[in-house]
Amino acid sequence: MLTKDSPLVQKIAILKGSDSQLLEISRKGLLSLNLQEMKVIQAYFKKLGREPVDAELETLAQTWSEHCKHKTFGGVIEYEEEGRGSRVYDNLLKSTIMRVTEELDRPWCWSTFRDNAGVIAFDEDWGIAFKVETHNHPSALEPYGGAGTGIGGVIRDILGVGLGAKPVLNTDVFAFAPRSLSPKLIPKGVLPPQRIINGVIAGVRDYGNRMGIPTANGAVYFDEGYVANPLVFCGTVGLIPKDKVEKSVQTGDLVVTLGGRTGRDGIHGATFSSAALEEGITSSVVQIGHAIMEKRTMDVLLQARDRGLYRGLTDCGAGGFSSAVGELGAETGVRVDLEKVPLKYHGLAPWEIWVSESQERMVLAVPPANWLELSELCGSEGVEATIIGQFTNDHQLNLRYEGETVGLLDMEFVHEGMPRVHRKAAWYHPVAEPKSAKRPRFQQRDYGSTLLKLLAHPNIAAKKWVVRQYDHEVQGGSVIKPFAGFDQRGPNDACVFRPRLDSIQGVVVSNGFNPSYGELDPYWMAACAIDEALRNLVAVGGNINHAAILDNFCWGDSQDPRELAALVRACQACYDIAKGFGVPFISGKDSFNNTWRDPNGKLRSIPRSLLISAIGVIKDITQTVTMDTKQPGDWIFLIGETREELGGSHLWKVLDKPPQGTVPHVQVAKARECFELLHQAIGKGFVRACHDLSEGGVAVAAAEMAFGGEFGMDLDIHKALVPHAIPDSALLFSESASRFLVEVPPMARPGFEALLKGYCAALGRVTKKRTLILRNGRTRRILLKQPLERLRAAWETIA
Amino acid sequence: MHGTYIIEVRHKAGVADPVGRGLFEDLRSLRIEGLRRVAFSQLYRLAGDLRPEERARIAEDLLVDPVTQTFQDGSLVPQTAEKEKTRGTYIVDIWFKTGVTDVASESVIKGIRDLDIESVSEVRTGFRYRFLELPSRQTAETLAVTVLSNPLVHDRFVNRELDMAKTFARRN
Repeated sequence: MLTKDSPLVQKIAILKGSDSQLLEISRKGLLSLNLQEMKVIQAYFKKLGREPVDAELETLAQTWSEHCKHKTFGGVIEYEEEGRGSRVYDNLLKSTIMRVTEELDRPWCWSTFRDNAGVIAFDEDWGIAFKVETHNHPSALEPYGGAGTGIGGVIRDILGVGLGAKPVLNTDVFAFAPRSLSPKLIPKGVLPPQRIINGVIAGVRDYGNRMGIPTANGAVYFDEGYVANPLVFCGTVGLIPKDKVEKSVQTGDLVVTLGGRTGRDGIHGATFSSAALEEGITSSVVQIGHAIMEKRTMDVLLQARDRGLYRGLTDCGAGGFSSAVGELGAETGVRVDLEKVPLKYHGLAPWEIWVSESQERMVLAVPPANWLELSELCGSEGVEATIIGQFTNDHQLNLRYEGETVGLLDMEFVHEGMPRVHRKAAWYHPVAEPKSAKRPRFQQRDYGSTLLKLLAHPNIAAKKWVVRQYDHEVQGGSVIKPFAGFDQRGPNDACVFRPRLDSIQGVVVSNGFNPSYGELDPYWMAACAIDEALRNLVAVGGNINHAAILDNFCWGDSQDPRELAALVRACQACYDIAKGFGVPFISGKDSFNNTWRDPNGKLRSIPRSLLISAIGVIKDITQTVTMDTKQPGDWIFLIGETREELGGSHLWKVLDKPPQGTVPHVQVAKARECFELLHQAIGKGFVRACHDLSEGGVAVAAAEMAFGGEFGMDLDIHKALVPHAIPDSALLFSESASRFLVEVPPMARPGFEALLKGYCAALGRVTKKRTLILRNGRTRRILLKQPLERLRAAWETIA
Repeated sequence: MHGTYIIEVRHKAGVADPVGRGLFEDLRSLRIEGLRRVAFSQLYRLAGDLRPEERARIAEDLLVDPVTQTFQDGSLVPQTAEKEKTRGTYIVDIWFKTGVTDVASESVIKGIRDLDIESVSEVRTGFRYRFLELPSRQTAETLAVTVLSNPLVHDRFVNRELDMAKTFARRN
């Protein structure tokens, strides 16, 4: 029973509160609870016949936050589409993304959507865990600290999956406003893009490098829509023994906190990250990471795991102990003595200790008999471990401070009591119908300058000044790294690494991200993101039949029917396309309400953004390829069909025109067969180099391959497979999906063509002369002729 | 004696200062009239019973790279310096706010303990930027807010070099 009139707690009077008063309590307390949720809480405490106290309301706010509970994805959405009727999605996540996994039912998917990360089989004894998180709002406010704790948090997710995985690779994808953005377009109180960019890059770099984990995959994307709300996606891959994938908690187990101490940093992080970015944020929501502490914690955990010293664990992330301990004790009940929590400094109220998001903390369920050994092990590594409570069998969350009960809730109410949201989503097609697009008009001499502009565009350019700051060699397992070719000049499509140095098996990690399509059609944006991630994976030798994907949605105002409809369309595409490829989702994360006020005070949403991260197992790392040209005389094949799909393309960006036209579509059945055949071709040794086609189309891909290998190319782009005749501009710059440029030695050409019959066309050859020539074979006109030095110089422009 | 002491660690004359140089390059685009150089140094604020020789030992054995760096003990910045509008060398000090995690300070405390000096109760770390020279205090304030610090997590203090020198002389 709650201790009466304890000076340690503050009662919150809600029992007699009107709707407006309930909302005011939520707003003032930074709880981010809506009226419906406040009323459910009010009814619960009416039944108990008492007012809630601060720790109880905070617990519910953290546990029920969008960040922790995925309210929008788990709710009921009535979707209506112009001209196509309506449909009700009862749990959007389960009925689209998780449904793919359930229906495919791959035996090598060992753990999906139920732990801190997804786990797939690497071999018979080892699994690969993968998780990608976002840390957007903290990074907008304090870029260095926010981004650093983003990568620190996802590393802890990997440490906390099953009984703990060893982190072996980090990934990072960032979306920023361009550095050149006019100050007039930067809202008041927002850090300029330059500071956000530098801070985020340094924050992730310092944390990942100091942890001794390689970062060998990622991307940086620029769009003005991210001015006040950058996106910081951080991912970690881990290696886990098969017999450590499951965890459990038993009554009587000790609740042990391990790692960093608790302070006021990060209080209300979970509820804050579920809200829109406005002025007036307090510094308490910001966390600063401590990589060395996390490294020590990791070293202890992996030893303790192998000695079998604990039965369950999870990381302290959003919501702090309230989420971590609450999750572990959901099936049993738990008693926590908050005064035992090691603090950074005195003066924290019990509720602050409970919800603080101080970093580098893990929570373990330890059988009492193992405590002494665990304690000694932690002491030997200089890591603090403390018993802060015990798991019970009363199905209650019992918070105490120096013997007084300062919070008491039923576990069932904490985890199942949240009301589901009901929302309406309405989709009507964009006013500028894609088919009405006007074709870009070019003079012949414009093609070369357009290609140079594309190569220098910040989304395509090298960004070596970013990538080179990350250690992609540590641990010694990197096989295919960010750059390839002569003097490491070309951009690889994906990274390949060996998590076990005694095995020739490898892991490939890639990603797909194209927000510029989302404004025109979120369905095909999502489809293209999946296609791109898998395309990149296949381009280096990956196999889509042993690959899985992760979704990370970053969306705007989820209460806006149109934005919500866009989300529904993207999720539906996730189901259709992933199912079509036969590739399951194993994990994901959503970040909603990425909104901000522009200088005129108007509420703006970020561009609709979906990051798809792909991971696959490669049986033999010697059967992988890079993207740089290797040998003059080799044939260059274009795989896949080219259509006039310039909607949202980078061509429009460099021409400074609105992103009109048809967004690339994915013909998934053809794409799947093509990807499987290309994988076979690489395995048979037919392929000397392979590069996926994405931003900027054939022209950009050919340029990158050419200067990557320091050999030229002479290609007739009219030999490309086209279902309908299209103009030269589309042949050069269309971003049609599911395409590759492939270098094939003359001796392998017959075998390659036979294998990929109907999917490939020989465009020309690799040349010794360091010039890229793209010509129209029908008119015998050279469309574009550029020396490699000029192309490379444009690509290496620091944007 | 109990007190708060600031140790400034700066590059020796003639040694490259990449942080200062990098910031100077970044500021070129702002075309600040008269700005000739930016120098960077690391600050450590130690609280506790520390004799001058103990502070010197902490600096020499723990905080300074003797090949490239030197230190100054006691350069406490006056926080109520007279407002100046004239051109001169301005100093901007940036510190983490109280309560914000200061990771480096934890390592420094551990290092001091390893030197068998037990009388330090708290350490905070900060950054000092010395601008040669700026047209006015207002320019320094603007740089402090827009480039050097984040008001959410940092405290900032702007002073003229001359003021500091006088204050420092008075204190000693």
